[in-house]
Amino acid sequence: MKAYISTFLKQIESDDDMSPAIAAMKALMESLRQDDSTTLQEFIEKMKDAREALSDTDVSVVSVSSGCELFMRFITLKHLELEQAADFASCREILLRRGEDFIKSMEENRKKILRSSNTLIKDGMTILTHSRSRNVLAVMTEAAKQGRQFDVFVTESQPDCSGCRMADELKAAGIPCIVILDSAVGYVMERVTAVMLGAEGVCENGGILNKIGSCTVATLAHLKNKPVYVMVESYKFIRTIPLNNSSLPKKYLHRASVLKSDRDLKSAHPLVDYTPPQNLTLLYTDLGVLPTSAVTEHLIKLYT
Amino acid sequence: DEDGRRPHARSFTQHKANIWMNKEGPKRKKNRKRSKKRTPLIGTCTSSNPGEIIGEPPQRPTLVSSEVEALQVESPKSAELGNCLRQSKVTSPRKGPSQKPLCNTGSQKTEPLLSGLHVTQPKHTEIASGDPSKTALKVASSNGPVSTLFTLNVEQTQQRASKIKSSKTANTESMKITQSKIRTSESETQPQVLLEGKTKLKQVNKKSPQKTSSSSELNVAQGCKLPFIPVSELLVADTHSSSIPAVNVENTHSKPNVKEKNTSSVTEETHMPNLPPMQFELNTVIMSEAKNKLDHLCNLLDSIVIEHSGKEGYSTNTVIPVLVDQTAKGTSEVAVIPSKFESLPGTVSECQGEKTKEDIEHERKARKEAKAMKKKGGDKSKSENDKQENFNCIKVEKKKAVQQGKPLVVSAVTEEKLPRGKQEPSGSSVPSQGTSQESTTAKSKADLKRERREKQEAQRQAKMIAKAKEVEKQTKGQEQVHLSNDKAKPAPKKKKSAGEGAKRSRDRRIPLLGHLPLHFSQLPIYPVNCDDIHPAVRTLGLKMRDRIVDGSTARVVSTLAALKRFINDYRTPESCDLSRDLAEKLLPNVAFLNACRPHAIAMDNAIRFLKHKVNSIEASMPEAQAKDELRTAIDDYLQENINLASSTIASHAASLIDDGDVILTFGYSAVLIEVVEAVCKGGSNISVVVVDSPHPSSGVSMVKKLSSMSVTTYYRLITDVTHIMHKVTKVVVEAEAVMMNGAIQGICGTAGLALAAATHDTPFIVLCHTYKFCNNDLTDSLVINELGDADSIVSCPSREYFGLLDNWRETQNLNVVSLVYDVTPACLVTALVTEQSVLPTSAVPVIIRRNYADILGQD
Repeated sequence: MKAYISTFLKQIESDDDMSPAIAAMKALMESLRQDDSTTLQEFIEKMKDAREALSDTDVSVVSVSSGCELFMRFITLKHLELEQAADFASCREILLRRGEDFIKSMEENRKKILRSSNTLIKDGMTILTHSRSRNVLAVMTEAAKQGRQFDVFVTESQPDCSGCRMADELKAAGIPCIVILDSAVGYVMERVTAVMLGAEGVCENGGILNKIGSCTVATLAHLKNKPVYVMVESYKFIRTIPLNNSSLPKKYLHRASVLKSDRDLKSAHPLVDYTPPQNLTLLYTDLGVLPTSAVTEHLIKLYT
Repeated sequence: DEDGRRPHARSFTQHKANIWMNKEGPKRKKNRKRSKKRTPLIGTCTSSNPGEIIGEPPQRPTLVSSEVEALQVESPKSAELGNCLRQSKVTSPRKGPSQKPLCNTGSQKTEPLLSGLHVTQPKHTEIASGDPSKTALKVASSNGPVSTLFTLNVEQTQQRASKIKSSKTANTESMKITQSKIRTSESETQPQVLLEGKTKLKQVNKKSPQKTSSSSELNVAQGCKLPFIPVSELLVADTHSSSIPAVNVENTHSKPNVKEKNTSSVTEETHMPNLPPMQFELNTVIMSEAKNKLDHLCNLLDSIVIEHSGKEGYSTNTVIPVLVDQTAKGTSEVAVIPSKFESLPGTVSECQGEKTKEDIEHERKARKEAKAMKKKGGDKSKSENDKQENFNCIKVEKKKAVQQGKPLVVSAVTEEKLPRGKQEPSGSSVPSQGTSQESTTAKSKADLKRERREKQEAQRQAKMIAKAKEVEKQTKGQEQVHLSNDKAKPAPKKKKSAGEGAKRSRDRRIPLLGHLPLHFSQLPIYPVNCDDIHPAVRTLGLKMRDRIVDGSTARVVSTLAALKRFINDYRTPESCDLSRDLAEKLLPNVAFLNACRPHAIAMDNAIRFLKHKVNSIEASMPEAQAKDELRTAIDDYLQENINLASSTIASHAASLIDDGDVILTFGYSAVLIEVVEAVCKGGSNISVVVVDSPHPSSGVSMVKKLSSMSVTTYYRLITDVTHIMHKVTKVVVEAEAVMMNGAIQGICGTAGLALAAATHDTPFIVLCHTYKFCNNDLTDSLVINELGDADSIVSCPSREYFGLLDNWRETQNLNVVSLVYDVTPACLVTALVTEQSVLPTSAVPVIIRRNYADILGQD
């Protein structure tokens, strides 16, 4: 296993607050520092390999791949400037500098989300959230710090029970919360004022890829006319439009280890589902508060 | 840039205007009044036309004045007006000769334009007296060539207005109103053309009228002093800008005054045509000499105009071309009119002074010469375009044979004549008007005026109420109307049919769809000898009309190919800018295509692109280079936006389709075949359900192609799509156009398919080239659409029902509608596959902004 991958995994394990995408970017920076290629082309090829290797680990593939893609896009942007560099050493200097800048700005993203969702949580609200999302946790903690009184329902979120972890962390922040069964979402929905979700990826049409069960929650909320807010960083925007859940690529649905094993995928539980944009109300991102239809514009801006 | 996007915008505003006018009851009345007022002026100017005034020269002055003021019936002659047929006669002969002054200064070539202009006038009168939906007819008809005329008109009106102003009359204020109105209409429709027109006008004015015949016909027409036309044009302009009822009221009041002013100013300027009532006697004396000849002339014109007015019934846009055609053909009768035009160069001096005997003689001579010339010209044109004409004839025959109700037509000397003749009685909707007029004959002018105003007010209110009710009804049943026109129609229709049943039966204008140009079973015949239209364009127009070239992509490709040939054969006249002149010469060609079949949105975009290219050519560039540039631009456009894009779309779409998918598609789509090819190449095994609509059953060829690729294929009619939808995994269709709001314009049936797909939660994938993106918003399929051949849907092939509805046109409350397109709302579309990528519908405005900013213009 290459060095940057081990640092990547270590980072994810050690810093729970770090998004895998950021960790992946840092790993890419690591490999960039250790890189010994002599031409830009060679370098780009190597980085591609590194990205694939990172996606091959047992992490959330969606955000890692989108984050890496954006990272690469950003640092190799404006080929001209790179080509004008005297040799590859100076070229690498430019790339490194850009990479640092980019990661720094990406780490600021959560603060921006906090700012944009500042007034989202009001006193007396009952919020339903699904699984564990760092952004949702940060927003809720921030609101609690500001002295707002609200209740939270957290789904248990099988198979990894990440909801229980979320509940613990919320309680630690002094927010009253109740863990409910995944199958009890319909039961509590009528008592809920808003649903808050994180996302592993945002599709071009504004739909989200998130922990399995999000689609159920969002659909039920939509059915009961409850607003569904998604807290997500813009580096999770990906350029795909899933037609429906069954058209999601396999690498998004299962861990790499599952895909590599010869298990029958039909019986393997998918880890991610796709929530169509019709069921979402607003996206709170570092770019601002966006309706689902605005995602495509930002993506087009980013990638063309 | 504005120029580039204008045609579309114009048509759109016109559509809007139509809708508006449809709703506006009182407006129509105004129109009617004005249009009638118009006639006397024209009459005065011709004054020599004895058609309707035979035997009563002394009474004419009174008649005229009364008409000018309020069109009541004092003189026995005007009693005739009661009969609509007569009325059309009355107006028509006047109009014919009235072209004289125009032509005197203009060149020969102004003739088509002017005559077109005049033909529209009877139409206006009819429209005014007809039902609301008919008002739309006029506006719709002004889509094509008429629109240019309109600019011209506005220009003239302005000139006129300024003249009147200069004559220092007290009524400047009222004039201002009209002026401002005209301006609003200008600014709405085509500001730039106007500017151009003005500048050109200046140029032309510098030249002597005789010389101007060389290059810019339109300009000549503008340049010449048009004393009476302006007033009538004012009216035309009014009808356009009529959306402000309040202003209109004022306007009607001011009208008589304005006219008086006109007359005085006219005398000052010695332009003569619209002679004031006072001078009329003098004129009649003079004119009586020419009377015999003009008698004959006017009779002929009568018949012609009646024919034309009758023709509107089934083809609005054709009207102009037809008259032009007739004149151009130089049939013995018609040749008389053109003669006046042709006498221009020689007789320019005429218009400068009062008409004297000498002048009249002069005129006669000139006319004779012109006749001779016309004959020659006609021969030439015939030989030139013999083939074309034959083709036209054949087509017309064919179509007519299909269209019941006009089977005899073909046997006539000219194709159009009989149907028009047949429809003469159509005008009879006006009798009620006539009688009312008669009843008031005894009263004084002032009384009449007041009375009429009151009556109008009352009528207007009544109409308003009726309209309001109607609107209520319509909004209630809008959904139904939308989905099943036939069912919902009777409700609004009954109301109207009470008064104007006879007219409607002829017209077959459909409520809510009155703004759409009727389906042409007849060719919009442009003058055969008219060099404005390139043979390639002409051929293409015919092919498109007959649906030989169908489908937006095919139409775009062939349109650009035809225009490329046109550019190839184009020569810049001396002392002319290539870009300017070419852009101008492009217009009639484009208009011809539009007249043959309304442009698809994609075509509009392509033409806009071409115009943009033409406009951006610098004046300093040599012609050969410029043409070369344009040709390569066209080639690139086709290559990039269609050929390459299609294959890219195919590969994008193929990535969305998995092994074992069941694809459902609608009708024929070349891109979809490419997609299926790409999928098969990728090793996936899919089956395709081709759903088809029965009328253009294009799906048949789709099935053939697919089965030749050994793809499992099912063929269904769209009627049983719900049976199979639950087995379908993806619906893939091709769009005709994509709107700014993400709505999809597709072949009629697509929206239904999308609904079925949404019901079954099947992904609905739309394939579309980005050049078909359009910066309009559409929420329903009524605003922008095209009427198909309604006869095709009633011709039932089964023996049991064969021919049952063949004479649906005669059935009072029955409307048969065949719409070509429908609009699928964005929310029903899962993904939009373009050559750029797979996009959500919300990306459309972004793409439009990014890709077409240069073409779409500033807004």
